[in-house]
Amino acid sequence: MKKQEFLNEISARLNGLPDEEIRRSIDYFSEMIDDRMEDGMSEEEAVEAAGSVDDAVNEILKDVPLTKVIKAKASTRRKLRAWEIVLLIIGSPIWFPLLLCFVILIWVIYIIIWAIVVCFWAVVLAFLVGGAGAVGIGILSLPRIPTALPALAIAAGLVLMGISLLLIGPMIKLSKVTGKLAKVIVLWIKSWFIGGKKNA
Amino acid sequence: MDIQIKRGLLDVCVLAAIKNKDSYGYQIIKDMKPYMQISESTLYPILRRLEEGGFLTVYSVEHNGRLRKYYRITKNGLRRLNEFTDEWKEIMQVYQFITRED
Repeated sequence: MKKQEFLNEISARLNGLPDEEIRRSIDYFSEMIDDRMEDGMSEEEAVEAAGSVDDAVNEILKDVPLTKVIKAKASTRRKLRAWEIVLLIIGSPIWFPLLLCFVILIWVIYIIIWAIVVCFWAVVLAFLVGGAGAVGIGILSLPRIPTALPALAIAAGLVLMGISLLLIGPMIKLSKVTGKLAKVIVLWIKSWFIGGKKNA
Repeated sequence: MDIQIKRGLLDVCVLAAIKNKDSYGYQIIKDMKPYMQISESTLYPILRRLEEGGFLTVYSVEHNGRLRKYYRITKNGLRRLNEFTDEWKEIMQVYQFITRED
């Protein structure tokens, strides 16, 4: 691939980001390729060494806040024609709920992901607190209830606490996986707004 | 290497690469190469992050009829490097404890 092709492709895939952001990225990769060519590589080799367009776009998007991405996309780049405005207003009962629904949907997905994490930890905490409570009550009622019941409560409580401790390790792993999943989803949402037309 | 550790190390390595002398993107990659492989794509957000965090500043210099961006470490950046080496001194002590042979 030629340098200009590479840069054009990146810039097309970033379409929708603030111009300043796109220009910086292009300047950066352009400088890198030029430097490699000065170092003795051919143009094709230098572009090859710069890596894939996908990697470049992903890394650039990762560091741009989601709000900025959406804002950039929302501010239209050209003036609307009169009939377009009329159409927009007439159509607003349709597109507005749809847009709202879409935004809410993204939010819900995000909230659900974190709700799952909260759930995991609630379970661990519940086991721990429940277990500690059972042990406590067992000890307190030991002198008053002369049956095996308090001992049973203590034993059950200890088992519960044990389970909660055993759960901590897997829970940490699950939380990490969920965190990664959330990141992937955010990146995926960003790439929805940005570019759109993937150059083959 | 653990991804979290690598991420932290890369930031510090980039600062180390410009510690003694201002440098530019390709030079930074070349200087780091013997110690840590890093691609252009990976370096880009690191430089942005370090700039936004006030650890380095950027200026352009004309070179062969084009502009090249140079990166200069700031006081904050130097402090970050020092913190890193201090912390690793402690970690190395622990390492010696872990790998000691009785």
